[in-house]
Amino acid sequence: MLRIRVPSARSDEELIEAAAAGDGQALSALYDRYAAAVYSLALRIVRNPEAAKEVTQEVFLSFWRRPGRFDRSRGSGRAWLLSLAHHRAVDVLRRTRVRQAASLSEETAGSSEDWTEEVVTALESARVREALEALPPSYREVLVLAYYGGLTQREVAERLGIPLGTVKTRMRDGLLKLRSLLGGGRDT
Amino acid sequence: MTREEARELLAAYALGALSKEEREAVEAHLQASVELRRELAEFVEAAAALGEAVRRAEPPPDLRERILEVARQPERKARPWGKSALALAAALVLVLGGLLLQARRELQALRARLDQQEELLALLASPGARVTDLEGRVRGQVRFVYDPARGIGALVVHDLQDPGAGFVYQLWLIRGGQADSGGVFRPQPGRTVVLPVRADIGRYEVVAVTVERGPHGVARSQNQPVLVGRLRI
Repeated sequence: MLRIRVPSARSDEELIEAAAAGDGQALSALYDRYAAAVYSLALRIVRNPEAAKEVTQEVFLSFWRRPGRFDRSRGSGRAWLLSLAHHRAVDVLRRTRVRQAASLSEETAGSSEDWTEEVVTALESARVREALEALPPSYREVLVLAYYGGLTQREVAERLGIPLGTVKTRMRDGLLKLRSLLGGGRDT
Repeated sequence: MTREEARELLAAYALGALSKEEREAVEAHLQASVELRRELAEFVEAAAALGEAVRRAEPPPDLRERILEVARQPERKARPWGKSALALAAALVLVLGGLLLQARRELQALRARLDQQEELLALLASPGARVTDLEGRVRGQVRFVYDPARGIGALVVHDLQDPGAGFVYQLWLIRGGQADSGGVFRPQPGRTVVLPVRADIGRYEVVAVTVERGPHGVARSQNQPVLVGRLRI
């Protein structure tokens, strides 16, 4: 599909590559485009504004002047930035959990099902909420515990009392189903 | 971790659900394989939709300036002879850390290649294995090893001439009038390149190689094959 863009508006991928090469304007343009998304996701995962701020800073500086960190075959720049944010946030969450010897159980004191439902209901995007609700509950639970709860696949298996292989399959099929429910994503 | 094991972990990787060690092992395979990277892209897009769905919060207003301020600072490694021995030591630590990281990455990439070669050896050793030589108008030693019963194969490339800057070779599996891509590769001087293929090979009649624009090749080729081999099932 043809998209007409104002010449000065560089694509996300161009901006990431330019920032990696040391273009400060590209970095600030990326910040303006994605800081809110990155910060919001980090905050949802780590639940602490100060830590979310740190994660956001780390994300935007992680590719600054570092060519080669981003590669277009990995998908869109937007998705890549969000996955950087998610990975960092989950790392922070896991470190804190170890330190406090607390686990997700604190937050998910009730059943995983209730917690999953709570998380999904609180999502702002109706489109994603409906897509998640359209998934089989067993798939939804695995995706939500892993992505929003920051659990590893092993922890998900333990928590739900199901084999690791089943978790892997549900993650894979769940994400693919989610993607097709969301309409295959973006136009190219 | 074999490449196949890494492939099974792509969804968990996109969901951030791997341990640090698992993530790094998958990362090494990703660096070695454009095919895996493309497969990952799909999962990462779906995960990104989850990431964008959360309740919006505005980052603190001073964060923008703080990040740009850090970014403006001259690179430390550009001036390793800083003001004091301490600065030099710090720079050394940075460099050593970088080297270690580099060495670790190289080790992981090597492991990924080793896994690939082990898979190839296993393929060659299987009783149903067959080999076909590809012939055509470019100089090189190119054979396709395959086991139709197990649906695995590998293109083994040695001494193939360079396709030219900005171009890659692309492998095709052909039956009837239809050609399905088997991936892209670039030859490496003095080294054997192995391109693993997983497909229902028994359904195909011919393997062929074309030259396409890099780095990803094309979905459908308009070009004449430069190398062709017939499959015996």
